Amino acid sequence: MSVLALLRKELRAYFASPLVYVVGAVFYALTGFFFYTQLVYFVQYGFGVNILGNFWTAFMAGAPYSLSMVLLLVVPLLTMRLLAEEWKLGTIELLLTYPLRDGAIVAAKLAACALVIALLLLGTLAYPLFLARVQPVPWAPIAASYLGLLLLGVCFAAAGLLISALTESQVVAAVATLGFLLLCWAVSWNEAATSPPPLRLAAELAMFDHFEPFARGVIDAGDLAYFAAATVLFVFLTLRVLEARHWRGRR
Amino acid sequence: MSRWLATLIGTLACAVALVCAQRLAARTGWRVDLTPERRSVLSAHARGILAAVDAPVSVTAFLRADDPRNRDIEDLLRRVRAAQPLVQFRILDLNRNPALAREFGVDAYGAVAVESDGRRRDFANPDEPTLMAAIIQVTRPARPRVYATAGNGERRLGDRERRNGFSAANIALINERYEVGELRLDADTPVPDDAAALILAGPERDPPPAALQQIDAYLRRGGGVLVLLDPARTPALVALLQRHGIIAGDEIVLDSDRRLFAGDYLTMLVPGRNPAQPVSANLSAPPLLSAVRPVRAADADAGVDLLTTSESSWRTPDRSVLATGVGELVAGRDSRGPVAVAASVEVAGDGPRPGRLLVVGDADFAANLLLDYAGNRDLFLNAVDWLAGEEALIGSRPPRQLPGVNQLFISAAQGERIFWLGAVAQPAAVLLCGLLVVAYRRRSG
Repeated sequence: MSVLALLRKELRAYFASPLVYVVGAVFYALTGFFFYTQLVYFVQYGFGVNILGNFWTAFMAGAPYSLSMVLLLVVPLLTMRLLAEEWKLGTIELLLTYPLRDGAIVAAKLAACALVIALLLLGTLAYPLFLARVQPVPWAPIAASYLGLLLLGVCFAAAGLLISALTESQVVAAVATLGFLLLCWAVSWNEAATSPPPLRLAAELAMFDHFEPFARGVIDAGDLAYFAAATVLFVFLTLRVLEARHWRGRR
Repeated sequence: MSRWLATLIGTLACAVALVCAQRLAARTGWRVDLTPERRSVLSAHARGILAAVDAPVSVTAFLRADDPRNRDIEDLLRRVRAAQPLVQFRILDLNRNPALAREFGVDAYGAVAVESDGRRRDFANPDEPTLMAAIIQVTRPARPRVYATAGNGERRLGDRERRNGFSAANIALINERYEVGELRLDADTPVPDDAAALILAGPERDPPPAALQQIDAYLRRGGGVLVLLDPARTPALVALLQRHGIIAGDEIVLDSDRRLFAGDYLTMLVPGRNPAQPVSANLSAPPLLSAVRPVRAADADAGVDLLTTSESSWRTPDRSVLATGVGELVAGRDSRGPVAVAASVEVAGDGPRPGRLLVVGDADFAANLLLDYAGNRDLFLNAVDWLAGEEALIGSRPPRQLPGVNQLFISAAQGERIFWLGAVAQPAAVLLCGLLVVAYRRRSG
């Protein structure tokens, strides 16, 4: 079986189960509602006051009513079954006997999840397209925001994949991933409780702090490298977990 | 070495390598700014101004060489030079050129001097509008005078009050190189001969008959008059306008669909723009008017309608809507739109050119609260430019890019559509897909 065949199998598994449709419906219901309420807020309270321009940034990154926050909520549901289900059903045995390296298996699972996330994000383009009918929309910064959302989503998925490799329970995988991602969101929050050096470190680690420039329309090499590095690290750790399971004779 | 230790060391090595790679990438400083504030093209208005430049212009900017924020200014100057080679610029570092800095009287970074034919204009941290204003002021020494009438409850050009004041419009006129003065017309005070245009900014009561006669005489000798009318006022002034071919209705125009989302029915976007008239043809966006009365040209041969409300609008004689801000179309009493709300006419007379009269059925659009929204600034300045015969200045100006500001206007109907499509229809469609897939799989076993 090739990586592509494995990718197709993963995608088929996603789209044959009702989970992805329920997750998709929840995702669009939340993002659609947040888009509408943010719009009301900005038009109503921003009128005549100089705060209007931040609408797109707020919709993309303005937690908790933003696209990135909804992504944080739904990605654990997409990643929970990736490896946990394989452990639970014992199908991991079969999977690991394929003439594929562990890296290819992990890459195929991550790519399938990333494609589903990309598809979900694609649907949210309806909002700027709708507003574009009303007035000119700043497409360039919105494109940067979507690039950031995709990188953020893939990074979330890689974290979820790692946690899914650690447990046989899908529920545990989903809850643990959600908790971890929430921590990543909140890590740079409490400035008053932290002295500057740890705060700087927290800001360096905080996923949302690296996503925020994308939401403003700025693509920075440091932020691109952060998401690349974080994703690679999660994948590397997932491979180490699989390797450790081999030694422990749980194949 | 145990496998655990090897894994731990490998993981640490990988983490350290990735952190180093990320830090190196961050240190390169590579960054792409896609925000609207960083424009890559000049606006049509700026290109029009530059096309009219016919004398060499020199721009000297005192910027700090290593400040990345200065890239925007340099970028702007390059684009200006590319559009008009008569405009040349040089960028000097203040500390490295102390003698020149003294000569220019500059002691702070960001200072810019624009010179042409011995005239000079200084300002700091230029953006496109300020640079264009400076170029206009040094290349056109004569500054046309614009007068605004006073004494009849008009909006005051110097008034900085947020909702009704006209101080922002005053500054906009000065930046467009006009000199602005106030005028109380009476039998002994005609409109001065040096007046390029006369503005009546929303008078609360009719000017006295002598003042109306002076306005009439000014028009007939080739003057330009801008009248901004508020509803239910100034019948004598309206009669004067009618004699010159512009009819101002006594009703109020409402629009439930084009009203400002979450706003009242009185404040609406006016989508219909006459592309044949330069004032309305060169608007960057539909203007946003508030508390509007109908204004139309009496005769399509002599005058033109500039702006027209949408099909969902209507005109009502019910003045209580001015207080409540809401209304409902009543059949038999109200008339359905579209409704013309601005018109212009040329008045034949005894001057070297015909007089020009432009009437807008609203004064609020040019007040401090609304001037920088939608196409309002263009509408006000284009109107004055057209009346003053300064056609080269008419254009679609770049939106005001105050820090962190953009404009966002949607109508109530559009807001509702966003809710139903985004929060209801789209998720329901996805859910339906899921149900179909599950049903298909059950049926196929």
